[in-house]
Amino acid sequence: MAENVSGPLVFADGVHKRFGHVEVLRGVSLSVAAGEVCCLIGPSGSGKSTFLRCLNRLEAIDGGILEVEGEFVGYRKRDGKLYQLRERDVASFRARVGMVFQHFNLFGHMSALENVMEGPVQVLGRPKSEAAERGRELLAQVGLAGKERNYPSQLSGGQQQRVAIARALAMEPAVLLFDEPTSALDPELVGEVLDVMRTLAEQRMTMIVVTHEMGFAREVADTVAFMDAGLVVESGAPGEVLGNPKTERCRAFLSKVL
Amino acid sequence: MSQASPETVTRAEPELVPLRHYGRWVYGVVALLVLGYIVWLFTDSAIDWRTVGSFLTVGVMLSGLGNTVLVSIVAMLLGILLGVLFALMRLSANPVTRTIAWLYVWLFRGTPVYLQLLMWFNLAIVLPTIGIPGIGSMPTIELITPFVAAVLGLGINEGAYVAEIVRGGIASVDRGQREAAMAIGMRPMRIMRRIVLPQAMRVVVPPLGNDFVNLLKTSAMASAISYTELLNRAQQIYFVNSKVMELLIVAAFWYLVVVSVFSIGQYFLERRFNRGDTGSRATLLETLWATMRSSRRRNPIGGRNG
Repeated sequence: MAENVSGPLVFADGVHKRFGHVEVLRGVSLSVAAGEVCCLIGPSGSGKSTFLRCLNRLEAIDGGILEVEGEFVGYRKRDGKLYQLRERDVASFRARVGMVFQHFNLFGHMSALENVMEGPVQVLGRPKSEAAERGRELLAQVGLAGKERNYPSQLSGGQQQRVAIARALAMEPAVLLFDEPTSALDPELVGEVLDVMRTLAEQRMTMIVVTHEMGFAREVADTVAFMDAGLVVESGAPGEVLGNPKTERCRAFLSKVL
Repeated sequence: MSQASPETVTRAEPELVPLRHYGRWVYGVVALLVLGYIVWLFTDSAIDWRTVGSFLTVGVMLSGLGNTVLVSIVAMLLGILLGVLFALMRLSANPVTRTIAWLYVWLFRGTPVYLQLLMWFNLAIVLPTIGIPGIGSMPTIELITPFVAAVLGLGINEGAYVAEIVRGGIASVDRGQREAAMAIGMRPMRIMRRIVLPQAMRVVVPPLGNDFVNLLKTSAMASAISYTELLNRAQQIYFVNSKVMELLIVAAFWYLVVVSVFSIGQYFLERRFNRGDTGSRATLLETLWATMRSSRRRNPIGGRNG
């Protein structure tokens, strides 16, 4: 832990990822400090989501360095070599990296509270009563007090996504990844999810957010990184990247979405 | 044709006349007549209905019925156990495991279950003793009783089918469910047990119920290896008293009863695994009532086309 304090919480250098012949990531470099909010923007197919999925090893990278909390993602360094981790060790790594998906992916056969309790009980081995108590707190925190016993199919998209955020928070992750968390929502439900995320940012939760919500990025992010064709083309303070883009590609993209 | 145009309906508010199905009445009457003729044929035939009645609840038949249910349940449990195991093996990342599972399904689905029953029953011919090294052994003929042969034959065969059903069920669970479970740090086996399998059940249970009903009837083949199930008992009796048709009718009656009872059980199982689906809280009676109503008068608004 000691080395993490000094270095960035998430560090990527020259990350490559291929799907067959298609090179989706062509050397992504990015670093995010603890307590920081980083928004990844860019056209679809630019590799934003793939990069996010590499960060918790839902995808394995093909090259480069990727570290979370100072540890290589998916590998353990020993005698100057990187040994691939077994699936069970990857699982304990993932427990510290929370993820919120575009399509919520709540467990359909469990109530909202059971969804939030599943990780703490099954992975962290917390007693059920304690996990339930904490689960109720978290659901209240995302504005869903009273919805504990509802099944996902009985909740709106915005409510489901807030349960998903509570489920990720229940693991007390070091960093929270958001993969287009509002893209699958009806327009009038986007705000309630962004509000929850804004509150988390105020509480200094480290977050990496793939998003098309430029207003949110401008207002909440500490860093905005613009990705295109598998590379981080431009990154910096939101005011600079969004307000005064240096590259032609970023300017072209922003002119279409703003 | 032109009468069906919407303008004629909106303005003058004419009376709505639902489509009358006169054909169905004719059809129903004809069906009743045919049924009546068949019943008359059989009552008028040489069937001795008093014999049917007297053997219906006789102890030998009832114990045969009990054996049928017993062997079916035990074989089904074995089938489910093997089926889940081999379905998981089939989805394994390990190519050796995958191949073993594929071979199992190929072998036991590719040969008649009747033949498999005969092979298990005659195992002693080629394998006089069965033993585990270091523990002991015993003569095959003592170990493989008709019951054991029937359970092995039916159960292992069933397992091959269950494996395919479970594999399909697992494939039906959205990939995102597994990813979400991975993202909170769950390990593969736990993801399977806690997240994937419970949701696969919804897809798995209906065909599994059908399979069990099938198995109940297929278990009649065990009469060929002298397992004293329902059909075997009927045969034993008619070999003596020559009331062939009467005893077959008794057996048919009990098969129908058992199959009906388990179909109701299947309904409750399906309901159990539908948790989390809205609108799945109807009771059995409500469902039966709804089914009867919809078959009596198909409601076009209900979205089911007749």
